[in-house]
Amino acid sequence: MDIDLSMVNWARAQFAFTAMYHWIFVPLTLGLSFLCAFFESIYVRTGNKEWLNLTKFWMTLFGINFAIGVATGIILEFQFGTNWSNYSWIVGDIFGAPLAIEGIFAFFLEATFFAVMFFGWNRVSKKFHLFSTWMVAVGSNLSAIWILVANGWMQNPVGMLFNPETARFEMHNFAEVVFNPVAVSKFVHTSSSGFLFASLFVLTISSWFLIKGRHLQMAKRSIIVASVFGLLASSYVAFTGDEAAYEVAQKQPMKLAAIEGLYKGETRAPIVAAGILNPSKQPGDDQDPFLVEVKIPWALSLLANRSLDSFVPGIDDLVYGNKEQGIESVASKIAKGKKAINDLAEFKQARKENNNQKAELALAQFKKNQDYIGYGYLDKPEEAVPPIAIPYYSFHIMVALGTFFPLLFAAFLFYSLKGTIAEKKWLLPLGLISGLLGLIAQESGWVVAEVGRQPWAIYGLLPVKISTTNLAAVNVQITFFMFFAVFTLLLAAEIKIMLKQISIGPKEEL
Amino acid sequence: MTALMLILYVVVIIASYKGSIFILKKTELL
Repeated sequence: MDIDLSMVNWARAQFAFTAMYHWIFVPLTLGLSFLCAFFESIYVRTGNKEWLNLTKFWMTLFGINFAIGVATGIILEFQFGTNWSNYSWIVGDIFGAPLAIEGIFAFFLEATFFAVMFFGWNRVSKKFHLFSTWMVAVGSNLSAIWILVANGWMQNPVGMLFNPETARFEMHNFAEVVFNPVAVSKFVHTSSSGFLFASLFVLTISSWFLIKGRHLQMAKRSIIVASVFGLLASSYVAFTGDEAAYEVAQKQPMKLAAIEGLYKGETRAPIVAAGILNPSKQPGDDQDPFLVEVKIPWALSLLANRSLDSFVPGIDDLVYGNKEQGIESVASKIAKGKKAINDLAEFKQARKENNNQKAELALAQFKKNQDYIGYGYLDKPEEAVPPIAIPYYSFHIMVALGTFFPLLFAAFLFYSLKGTIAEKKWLLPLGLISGLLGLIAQESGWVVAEVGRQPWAIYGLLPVKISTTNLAAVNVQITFFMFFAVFTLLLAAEIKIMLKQISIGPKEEL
Repeated sequence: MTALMLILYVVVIIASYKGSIFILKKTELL
């Protein structure tokens, strides 16, 4: 089978680039929509026009961000057709459903109420306007549910059957796809991390106002609401992150081993709290995986299996097998996968020849090994190992920042309660850069999820390298640089418009 | 666990609003 790896790599680069770009805007939408709903609720409750001015200020920034988030998201969906048509053919029956529901159900909901929220001031009643703002927040996060159901299915494919007649996976149980435990833990973790990021965004701009000595009352109020939301959200993000890691350990043990740099499985396995990987380490060799490391004893066993004494498999166990622990080697899975591919080809040939007896025999043989069919496309066992350094460092950056954020929110809240927040010259610069740190944590999380999933597009079933469209790489190169230029212009436009609105500050409508 | 996570998700949103009101009152910024 001839595979143009340069096409695969360019298609991956294009998706990674456009997805990470899209993710600059999405988490801000997920969280800022709720913050706007809080601000407007306080305005409706108090009738104080200062809260109306504050609400409109944050809503303007929300609107700028929302527009570019939508534009960059549409590009992603088109790529399933242009660059990943084999993927769309093989799993489109399942993967397409949540994407369509997201567009028809959730996005239309948020888009409709978005119009009322933006253009409905003084045209609809106060309460209906407030209801619209809440619906934008609910709709935005409903959109995220469906996208994360689709991504959760890529990480843990459930609720489908393989149709050997068409060589496609078909939806068998919709509820199983929607309530996939990986999708649920992914949604609550991702959505609440958006709450956290939006709270940091509000801290950043409010800190800037306090440093500049402008709009002090508005900045102090914004800081209190954002700090309460951020403190609760960051605690919840840690809780759901633990649950997401548990699901990874159960469903994607290779990804867990990669993000922890664990080569040799252990009982009472430790977590590497911090460390530098040995760049020359390869699966199966005897080198130490780390140049330096700081470990927390037993913690990985507890995180992965909810038991201190449990065994956590390492990369070597998963690649070369571990009889004692009942882990099958990748080489054995590859052999079964190749057999499944051959049996499927025989089945199709027999169908063409109208030889039903031969077809039934081939189908029975195929069904014995069909779960391994994806492995049949791997060239060697080590190909089942994802890149180690990228998910390892991304995971540890995300966790370190995730530990810092609740402390930052607590400090802002503490000094707000004391009434001295505007005088804290050491804290405000931290608030000023916190939005950027939040963005780094956001992108790191997705890098862990998606790079750690390699070499699979659908985990254990469909390798990335056979998912692309049969195109020459130059086609993807052209669109890659085209998107790069357009997206950079969009980002520059957003930053420029936002900075202009921030420098204008809230309008005084009294 | 799924139900607990979804319940807490809603609790975080409601508690954030209620908690903000409480602290804004306390600091006389409401």
